[in-house]
Amino acid sequence: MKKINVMQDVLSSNDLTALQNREYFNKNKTLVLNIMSSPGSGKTSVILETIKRLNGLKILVIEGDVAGDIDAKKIEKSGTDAFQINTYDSCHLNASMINKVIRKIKVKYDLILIENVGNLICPVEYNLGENYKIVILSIPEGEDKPVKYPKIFEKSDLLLINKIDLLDYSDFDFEKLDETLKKLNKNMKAVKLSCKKSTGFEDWIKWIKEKITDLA
Amino acid sequence: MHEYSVTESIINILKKEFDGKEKNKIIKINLIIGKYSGFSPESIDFYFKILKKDTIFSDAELNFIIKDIALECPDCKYKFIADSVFAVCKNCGYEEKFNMISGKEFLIESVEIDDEG
Repeated sequence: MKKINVMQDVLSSNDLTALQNREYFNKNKTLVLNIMSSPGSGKTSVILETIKRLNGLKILVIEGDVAGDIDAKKIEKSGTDAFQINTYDSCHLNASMINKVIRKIKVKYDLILIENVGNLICPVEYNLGENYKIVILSIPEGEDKPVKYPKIFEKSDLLLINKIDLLDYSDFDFEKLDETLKKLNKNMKAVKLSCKKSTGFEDWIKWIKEKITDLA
Repeated sequence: MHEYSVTESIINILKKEFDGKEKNKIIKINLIIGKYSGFSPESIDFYFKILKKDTIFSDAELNFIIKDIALECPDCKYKFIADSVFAVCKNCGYEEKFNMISGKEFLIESVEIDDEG
């Protein structure tokens, strides 16, 4: 019996494509945000409220869903370019799916918002070539999600806490959330907002604008 | 469920390395997988049994070399094995974010070939 060493990272092929995507985005000075959360936490609503506040920027939204184009239609209705990816049996977007979109892009975008498939487990394992990972946690989900799904909160750059308007109807414990985040990602900034009431977006919009300026 | 696509990646990487180049039977694929890699050996094994059919790996079995979660305390530099990232330093009591020494790995280490049959 003969043993042959391979020593290759299983995700190396995805990482290589992500790097190519990143080079394309860097060349075009496009800020790319990979937005992840569980289903129903309000990713599409956050995106719609965000693009409303970024007048003058050329924005593309890439929607990742197992099936359907409901979200892409919502974005297009708002007057913003959208591209729907259906992953069929896959629970996450990967770099090659984003690469296929890049090949079809004809204009230069200032900002690309990628709405990943709703899932707190798989999307974080696959780099897409984004500049930053954003995770959304909504009040009805509870403060214990980072305990149960640590990696996505560990690897994200910014936390958006959505549906803050439902706080009065919930036992959501911010102290416990802070304690958990200290153990996972103590420098991660958290922004509380409500899409329903259209409040709390100032810091998030400021953060995006700063990141776009940083690229220039 | 994301193990399906990583199992495909394992097969694609090995096809590039060995398809058409290795005449002998590949009987074992050794994978190094960390307990904090985000991937489940059981699920990878399940998908591999389906995906290996009609490939040069149809006779191969997977062998998982499991890497524990090893943490280092950023305060006192004490190193220890933990069950999860939510740990308390056994030396100084620190309980915030630790440096991870190992546990995230996910590599194809080697393949074993039957060159006697």
